[in-house]
Amino acid sequence: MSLFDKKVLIALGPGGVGKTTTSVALALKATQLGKNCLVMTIDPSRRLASVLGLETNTNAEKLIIDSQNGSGQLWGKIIEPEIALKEFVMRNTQKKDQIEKLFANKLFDQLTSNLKDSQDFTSIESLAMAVNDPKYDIIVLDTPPIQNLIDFFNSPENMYNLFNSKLINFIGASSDSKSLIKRFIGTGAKGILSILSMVTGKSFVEELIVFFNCLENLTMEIKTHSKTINDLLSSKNTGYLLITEPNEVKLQEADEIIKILQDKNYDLRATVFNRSHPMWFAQDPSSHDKIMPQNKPFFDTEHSYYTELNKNLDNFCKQINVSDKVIKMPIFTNINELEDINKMTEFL
Amino acid sequence: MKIVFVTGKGGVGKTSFSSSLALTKASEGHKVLLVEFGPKPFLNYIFSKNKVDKKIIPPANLEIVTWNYEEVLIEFIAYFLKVKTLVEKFFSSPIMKKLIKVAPSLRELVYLGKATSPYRNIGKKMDYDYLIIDSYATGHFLSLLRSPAGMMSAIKKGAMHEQCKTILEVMKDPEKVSYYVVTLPEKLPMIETKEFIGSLQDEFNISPQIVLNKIKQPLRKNGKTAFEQEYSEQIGHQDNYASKMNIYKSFPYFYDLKLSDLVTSMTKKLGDNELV
Ligand SMILES: Nc1ncnc2c1ncn2[C@@H]1O[C@H](COP(=O)(O)OP(=O)(O)OP(=O)(O)O)[C@@H](O)[C@H]1O
Ligand SMILES: [Mg+2]
Repeated sequence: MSLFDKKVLIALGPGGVGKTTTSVALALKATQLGKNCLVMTIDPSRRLASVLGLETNTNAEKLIIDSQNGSGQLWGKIIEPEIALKEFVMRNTQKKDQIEKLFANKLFDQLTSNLKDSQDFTSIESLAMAVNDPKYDIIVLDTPPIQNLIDFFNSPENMYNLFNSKLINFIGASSDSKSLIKRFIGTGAKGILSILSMVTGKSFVEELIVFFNCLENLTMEIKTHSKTINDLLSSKNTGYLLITEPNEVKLQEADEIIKILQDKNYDLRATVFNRSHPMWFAQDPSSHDKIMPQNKPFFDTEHSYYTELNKNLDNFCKQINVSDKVIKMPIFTNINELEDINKMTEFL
Repeated sequence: MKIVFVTGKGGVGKTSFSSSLALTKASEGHKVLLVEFGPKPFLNYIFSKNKVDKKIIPPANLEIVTWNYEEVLIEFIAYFLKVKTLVEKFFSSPIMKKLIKVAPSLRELVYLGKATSPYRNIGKKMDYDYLIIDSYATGHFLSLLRSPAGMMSAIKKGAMHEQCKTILEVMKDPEKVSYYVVTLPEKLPMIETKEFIGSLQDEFNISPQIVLNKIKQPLRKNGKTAFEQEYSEQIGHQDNYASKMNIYKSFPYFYDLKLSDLVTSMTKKLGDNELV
């Protein structure tokens, strides 16, 4: 089975292993196979954004390469959590007049600024939106660095909880924060909020109440949405790609990610071990005899290093028993332009 | 007492360098606390209290800790509330539990609050000469630094505001806190490091030290084989980048597969000619 028989490919992995670059390579490969592909990424380095010709601060998809000679279109999008979260709110409420109030709230501002939790959430949310667009045959989602995969998968749930009634009902409903505080005196919230206000100060609690009050007035219909997201993540048309590096720490992290995916019965299509070896390591060894004698010690050091590294890697693959596809990605010296990323596609 | 933050792009060697710096300072006789942000511990790949797997046994004056957001938060609340039953009531509330999970930038504030607490005379006593913090990668590190000012602009007065104000003051004081950015001698990492340092200077008036990691020795002679060509290309412009910036310390590429071995190699190198 091919990597590309899925509608959605979610690239997961620990931080700093080249996940974004690999995701772009994956998308390029899909277009070479004639598919129209969208690659979505969050918080990329500015360099990578410019390589792709993408601008930050919009939340829009952009055509990077048009179809030519039978290849498909390559689309790209940088997910902006701030914009995406606002769009999410706007999609999910009819009360347009309440939206302004919420957006003006200072805590909402804090919530939407580039924080880890809102990154996780908006990544999955953006995927759920794009998947309905008939323009794309394949969507590749480059996820934020995984600190906790369970938290990542649960991030929509967590965020809905925030936007959802229970919490808000508890805090109460009235547009005036002063009278709200008074009302708390009579509710179960009183204890907690007065403790909170001892620690953080009254103005923090006031702002918090206004925040939840705005949310309550929105009355969002996100319960059903939560199911849609879970269906998407576990769908037959969704595949996962694990990207990691063959060092001690990242292998261990990969192991944990694989276990979680297996546990959830999510379809791990392939595991990419990035920077597994230099190109020469996999090439015809006969040329190694012609290395200058002065350079030989350098070669020996590198050769035994990568031999050992790959032995560990092979052991790991046996152990975790990924019958799924294993891809060893070589070290590329300069990945600066789209053409350079293109070099990766032949290994996918 | 000095607080040290170590940051840099993902995978450049932050954890290795933090560990080596901690070991070096400890070997000079200082009392050191090496910190990483949880929830997952990584320093346990390098250190172990028992002799296992060639891991490093930390000397008595080096303590290693993983800060867990919820634990540190409880510690703070407990410090402010003093009354134990209040604290329990607070954290047993299911509403509070949910709120803590999503509360805007609370995690960042809690970590910074803890790190700067010795200078703000609050919280548990931390009696160390060096607090070395293996911190977030660059992008997330900026959000970390931005969180106190962000909260201050949201909440204009009260305890929260005051806390954030003092945190920020400490973070910006070069006498109290120093910053190390680990980077690699390659084109993109160097450009990104420059941009990152620009942001640190513009937004916070912070000037970090640069640590250049994974430098490879040039070949003795030019050769035509695949190995020689690729190796030379890889290290091609390395020296260029190194000379353009004010580098605090450079480390060679260590051919150690075990992280604990690598930290031992790096510590040796750091001890050779420590510049501070
Ligand atoms: N000087 C060096 N020579 C060779 N390899 C190195 C060197 N420094 C670090 N490494 C290797 O690079 C990898 C990443 O190192 P380390 O974990 O210290 O980086 P990090 O910046 O903390 O990563 P992360 O962003 O994932 O926390 C490890 O496999 C380590 O062995
Ligand atoms: Mg690290």
